[in-house]
Amino acid sequence: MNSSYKRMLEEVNTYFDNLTDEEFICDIERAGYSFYKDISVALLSPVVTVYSQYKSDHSLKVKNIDKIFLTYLNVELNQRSDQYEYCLAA
Amino acid sequence: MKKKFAIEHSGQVLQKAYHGTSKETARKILKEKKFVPTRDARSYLGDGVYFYEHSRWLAANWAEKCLGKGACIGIICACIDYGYCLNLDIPEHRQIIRRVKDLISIRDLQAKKLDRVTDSFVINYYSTNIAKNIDTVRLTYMSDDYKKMMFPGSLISDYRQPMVCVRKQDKISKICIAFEGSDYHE
Repeated sequence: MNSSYKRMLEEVNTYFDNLTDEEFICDIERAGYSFYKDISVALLSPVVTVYSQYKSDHSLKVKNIDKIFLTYLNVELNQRSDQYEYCLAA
Repeated sequence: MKKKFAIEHSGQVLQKAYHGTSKETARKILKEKKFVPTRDARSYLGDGVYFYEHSRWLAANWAEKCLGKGACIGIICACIDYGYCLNLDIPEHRQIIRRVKDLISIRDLQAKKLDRVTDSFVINYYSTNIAKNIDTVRLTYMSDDYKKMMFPGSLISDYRQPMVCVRKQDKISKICIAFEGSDYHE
């Protein structure tokens, strides 16, 4: 096994060995996986509230609804960080 | 102390990489010297700016496919410093991504929240959380028609598309417009 590959493999194995469940969830979200599939849209509001499947106590409030393609919501949220805010669900 | 990551520096620079888009977007990129990275599950090399290595023709084809035949396209030419490169043409690098995928799946067994694990997601996971120094991801893409050879009797597939996805835009330099118009001919 070449040494570079061996180091890369060790790095990956060690990373997962030391990973807590909370960190794993954060990692997944950082990698762009969208858990925001249960979408509640208030039609009269300029803000869309998106509830996370994964973290039940979190939701996103998304502004500028016309610019959001819900299919790729995670994409849009990542790209337009100025247009959304994290908040705790009421 | 700065963390040292395991992936090695490639020490390689690609002088001519091509990015196909619309004419307007190409001009905007040239003016602002900034690209909007692609971020969706279809981008199989993960988040970043996608280029074809060496081939202007492939970039033109891509732009025409996206915008429609006869649309006014723009092709950006740029120099790419591969830097720390996850090179999926190397079997060992593919093996690492496979290992990351396996470990993600094992960890997810209890929660069972990941209904679909894509190439893009696994590469993003690895590059964002573990090998944070990765600058570029490259791969010679083989399309669905990869079995079509250059000519009858040839052993060389005609559908190889060498691509690079640039995660860190400071690795892109010498940006210029290689073509703009609606009638691309090589």
